[in-house]
Amino acid sequence: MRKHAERLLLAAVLALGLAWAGPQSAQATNRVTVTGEVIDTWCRVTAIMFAEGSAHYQCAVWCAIGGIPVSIMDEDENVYVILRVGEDDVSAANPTIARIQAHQVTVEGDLIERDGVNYLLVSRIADDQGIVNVTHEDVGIQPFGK
Amino acid sequence: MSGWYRRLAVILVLALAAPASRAADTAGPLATLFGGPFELVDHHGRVVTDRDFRGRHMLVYFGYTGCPDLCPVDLANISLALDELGELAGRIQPLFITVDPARDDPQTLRDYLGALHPALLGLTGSERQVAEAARHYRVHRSRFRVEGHDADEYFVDHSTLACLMGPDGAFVTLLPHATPPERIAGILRRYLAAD
Repeated sequence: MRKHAERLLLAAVLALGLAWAGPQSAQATNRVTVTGEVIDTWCRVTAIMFAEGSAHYQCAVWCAIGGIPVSIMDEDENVYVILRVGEDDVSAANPTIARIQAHQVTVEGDLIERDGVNYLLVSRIADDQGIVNVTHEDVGIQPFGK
Repeated sequence: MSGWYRRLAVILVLALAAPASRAADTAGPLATLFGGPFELVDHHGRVVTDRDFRGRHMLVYFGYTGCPDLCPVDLANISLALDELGELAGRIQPLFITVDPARDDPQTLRDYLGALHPALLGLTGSERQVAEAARHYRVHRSRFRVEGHDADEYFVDHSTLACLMGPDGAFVTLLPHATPPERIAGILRRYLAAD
């Protein structure tokens, strides 16, 4: 009888493991604090142009409003795609985050890893130091020049 | 059948039934952010709802035929990914929901998408219907006109996240703008294999 019970338990564990393993199971949320520069994901990640700091601020705002996801890049160059700011229920390109493009910020929120992408649901912008990465004097306004 | 086998059978049935609902169960916060019901008109002029696509994955992308940059990139990538999937692509319904229903009627969508991929299905509708669908998928729309252009010569800013929904209509995953075709194909293949 006990042997049957052990088999039953083993079968249950295996069956549930098979059922729940898979791509979706990678989506756990973690409460995190992230510090870094708010970036234009497309221009920065593809390196299609110089897309850091003040030199790229204008383009980054346009891209955000135009539908390009906004991210935060931390000092280790990890990218966190922002999907929501606060309780916004309208869009993933919240004007709140578009306005602080290129700023150095610290945010608190939930991190969700999905298919190799870090998504961030920002609950609070804890610190906003403005644009500290002043690059336009060296490289001009990107991509349009002075 | 002994009690032992009966219990085992019950466990296996429950376990195998779990995947149908697990996308919603494990999708956590993202499942509550993306997806919802819609009623629109497809590019053949038929009224369709989200329920018409049950049993297949929906790959939902919002854009418009006049889009000069974002849509052509993403639709080309999605089309190449579908080609790479071969027969597996038949289990996915790629949907292109217009953010510009004033100009994108069924015929316009049919002409535009026909040049890209035969599986792409364009959806349009009234302004209210499109606004409702966009709200469920957190798609912002903002119309703007370049100085010197006529009133009907405008562009529409719009979100660019493609959403993969499961056969039960529940959220599965996101594909950010400009995800390369081979990566899209890999992600789709994994989720199709998991079902």
